[in-house]
Amino acid sequence: MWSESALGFLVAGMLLLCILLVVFSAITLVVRVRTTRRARHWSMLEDRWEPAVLEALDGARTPASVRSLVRERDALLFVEYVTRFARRVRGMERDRLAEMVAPWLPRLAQRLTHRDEATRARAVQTISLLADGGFAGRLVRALDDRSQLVAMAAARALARPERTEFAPQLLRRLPRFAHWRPSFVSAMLTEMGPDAVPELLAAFADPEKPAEVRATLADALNALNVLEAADIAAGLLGPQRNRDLVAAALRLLRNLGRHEHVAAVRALLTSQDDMVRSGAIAAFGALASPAELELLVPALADPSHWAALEAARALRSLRNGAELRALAKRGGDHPHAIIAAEVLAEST
Amino acid sequence: MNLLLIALDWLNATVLVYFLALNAFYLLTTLVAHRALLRYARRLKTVDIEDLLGSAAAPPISLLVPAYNEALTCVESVRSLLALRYHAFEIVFINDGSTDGTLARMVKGFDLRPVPRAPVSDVPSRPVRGVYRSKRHPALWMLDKENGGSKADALNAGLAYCRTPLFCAIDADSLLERDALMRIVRPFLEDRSTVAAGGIIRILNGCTVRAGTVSDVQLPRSLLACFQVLEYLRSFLAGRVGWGELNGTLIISGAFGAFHCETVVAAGGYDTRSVGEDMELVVRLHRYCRERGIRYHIAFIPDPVAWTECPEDVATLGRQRRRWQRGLTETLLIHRGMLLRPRYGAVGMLAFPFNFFLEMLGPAIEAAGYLGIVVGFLLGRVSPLHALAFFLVAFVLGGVLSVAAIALEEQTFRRYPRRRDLAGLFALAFLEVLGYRQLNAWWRIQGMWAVIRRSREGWGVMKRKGFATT
Repeated sequence: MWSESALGFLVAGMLLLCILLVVFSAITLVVRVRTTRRARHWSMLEDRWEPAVLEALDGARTPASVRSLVRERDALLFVEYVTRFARRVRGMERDRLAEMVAPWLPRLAQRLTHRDEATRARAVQTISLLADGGFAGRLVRALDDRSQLVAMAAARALARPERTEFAPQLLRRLPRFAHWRPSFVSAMLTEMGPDAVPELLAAFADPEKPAEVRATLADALNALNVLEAADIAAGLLGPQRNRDLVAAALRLLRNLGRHEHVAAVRALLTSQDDMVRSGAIAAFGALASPAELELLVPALADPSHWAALEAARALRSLRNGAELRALAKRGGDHPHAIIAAEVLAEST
Repeated sequence: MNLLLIALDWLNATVLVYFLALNAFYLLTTLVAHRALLRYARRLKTVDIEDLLGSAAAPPISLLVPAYNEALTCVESVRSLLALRYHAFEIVFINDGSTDGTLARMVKGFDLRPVPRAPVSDVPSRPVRGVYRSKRHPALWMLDKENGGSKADALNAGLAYCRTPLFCAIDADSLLERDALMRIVRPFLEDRSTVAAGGIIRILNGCTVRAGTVSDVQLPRSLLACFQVLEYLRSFLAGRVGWGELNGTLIISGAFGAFHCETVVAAGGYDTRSVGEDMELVVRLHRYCRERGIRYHIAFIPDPVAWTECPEDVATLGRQRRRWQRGLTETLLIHRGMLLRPRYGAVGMLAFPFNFFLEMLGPAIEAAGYLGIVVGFLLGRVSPLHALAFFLVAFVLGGVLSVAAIALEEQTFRRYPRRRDLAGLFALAFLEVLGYRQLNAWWRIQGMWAVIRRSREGWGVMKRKGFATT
C-alpha cells in the first residue's frame, strides 16, 4: 500500500527523531552529572576558603596568606567567590578582599575581550569591585563596547563618588543609554554624588545634548538637590520642547524652584498634554504665593484625574482647605469630589 | 462511497499537513528557545539582584490581585505578597463582590479601614463600593466592587486606581518568589519601550511551602498534576521563550505579568468580553502600538517565578482547559484582522497564523484525524502499518519535544534536583501521549463549541487545597 519513497521518508524521519531524542536526553544527563560535580567541587572549595576569607576580613590573618590556599587552576573561581563578599562590604574590608585577588586580576582582565558579552560584563563588574585605579582605563574603554550590557556595566562601575574624574567620559556616552529606563540612568548618575555636580550641570545646560539625556540629567540633579539647576530648568519650559524634558524640568522646579520661576511654570497650566499640565500644576502649587494659587481652583475640575489631584494637593492650604471641603461635600454630584476628600484625609 | 473515500483521503492529508506544521513550529520554537535560554542564563550571572533591590532606580509597582470567593486563601496569599522584596510596591486587592466572606476575612486579617481614594483613570468597570487601607500595612489597599462577572472587570477597577508607572496582575492563589518583582521589572529597566513582561508559572502541587516561600520543589503525587508540570515546562521554557525570541509573544499568563500602566490604560484596559483577558490584552497591546507606530517591546523572561496550584481532578482540569481554549478562540476571532497582515510584523505573519490555524483549529483537526483513522481502518483505506507508523511518529515526536523541554530546564534553572523527579519527567514525556493528549484535545473542542454556542462564563472557579504551609 505504501510507496517505497514514502516508507523511506518515514524511516528517515523516525531516525531523525530518534537522534534528537538521544541528543536531548544525553544533554540532560550530561548536564545533570556535570552540575552535580561542579556543585560538589564548589562546596569543597568553599569549605576550604570561607574560614580563611572571614579571618582575613576580621584582620586575623593577612590577605596574602589566604592566597596560599588557592590552587592556580582555581584562581578565577576564587575571584568569583570573593566577589560575593565584595558586593556586600565597603572600605577597609573591601580593600582586604582586593588585595587577596590582586595577582589574578590581569588574568581576569583578559576576559574583557571575550566574545561572549555576559562574560565581558561580569569581568567589568568584578574589576570595578576589586581592582584599584590601574584598571580604570579598561573600564572607560568598556563604555564603547559593542554590547549595551557591557557598556552599562562599565557606566555603573564608573558612576561612583571615588571615580568622579571619569564623569566627563561617562556623560559624553549618555546618549548610548537612551533606550534604558530614564529613572535607572538618573539613579546611576546620582550615585556619583556632589563632586560630579559641575559636570552634571554643564551637561544639563548644553543645548546640543539630546532631550532624553537632559531629562535624565534633570532628574539626577533633582535627586542631588542642586539648586543651581532650577534656573536652567525654567529656561527649558516651552511648548515646543520634548515632553519628557519638560516634565523632568517641572519635577525639578517643584522641589528646587523659587518664586521667580512661577511665570515660566504658569504658561504650562493650560498645556494640552495631561502629563505636562499635571506637572505644571504640581510645580505651580509648590512655588506660587497664596494669592496666585487661586488660579488653580478651576483645575479641580480638570478632565485629567492626575491634574485634578495635583490641584487639590496644591490647594490644601488655601483658605484652610475651604475649596476642598466644599468640593468634598458635593459627593456624587461632582466627579472629583472624592479627590478632595482624599486630599483632606491625607492632611489629617 | 467514492465520495466518502475521497473525503477520507483529503482528511488524512489535512491531518498530516497539520501534524507536520504544528510539530515543525514546536521544534522551531524549542530550538530557538534553547539558544535564547542559554544566552539568558549567562546574562543572568551579570545581574546582581541585591544591588538592584537596593537601588532607587526600580520603578514603583502596584500588584493587582483580583479575587472572587477566595475566603479560604486570601489572607495567606496577601500575607505572602507583603513579604515580597521590592523597594516600592503596593498591593491592590480587588474583591469582585464575593459572597463567601472574602471581604470580612480581609478586613479582619489586615485591619482594613475605609478611606477616600480617587481613581486616576477612566477604565470602565462595575462600580467600586468602597476603598480600604490596612492600618498595619499601609501598602495594602482593597477595592470592594460590585460583581462584574469576570476577572477582566475586577482588573479594570484596579487599573483605574493604579498610581504607579507599572502594575503587575497576579492571581489571588499565586505564590510569587520573594525577588520575582525585581526580576520581572528588569526588562522595563533595560528597555524603556517595554510595555509588558511575563514571568514563568510553575506548579506548586507537591512542593513544600514554608512561611510563604517554596522551600522544597518536587513532583506532585497525582499523575494528572505531573503531566501538567511537564506541560508547563514545555509551554513556558520552549514555547514562550521561543516565541518571545521571535518577537511573537501573544500571551502573558494572567497569573503573573507586569505591564506599563499608561499604555494599558490608553489601549482601553482589559476586555470584559473575553474569558482569556490575559491573552486578549497582549494581542491588543501589539495591535495598539503597531497601528500607532509606537516603538514597543513585549518580553517573556523565565527567571521571575510564580507558583500556582494546578487541578488534580479530571473535572476541574477539563473546565480549566475548556476555558483556556475559549479564551484563545475568542481573542483570535476578535483580532482576526491581524491575521497574515505584514503591518503587524512577526505577530501578524507568524505568531497569529500559528495560533489561529494550529492552536485554535488544531483540536478539531486532531479529533477528525482520530476519526479518519478509525473510519479508514474500517474501510480498509488505512493499513495497520500506516496507523502504527503514524502513532509511532507521534509518540516519539511528543517525547522529543518534552525531553527537549526537560533539557532546557536542566541547563538553566534546575528546579527539580532529585534524580527520582528527573526520571519521572522522562517517563511522563512518553506517558503523556497515551490518553492525556487526547483528553486535552477533547476539552479544547468543547471550549471551541462553547464559543460557537456563545454561552456565558464568569470567573473560572477552581477546586483548591490551598498552600500546604509548614
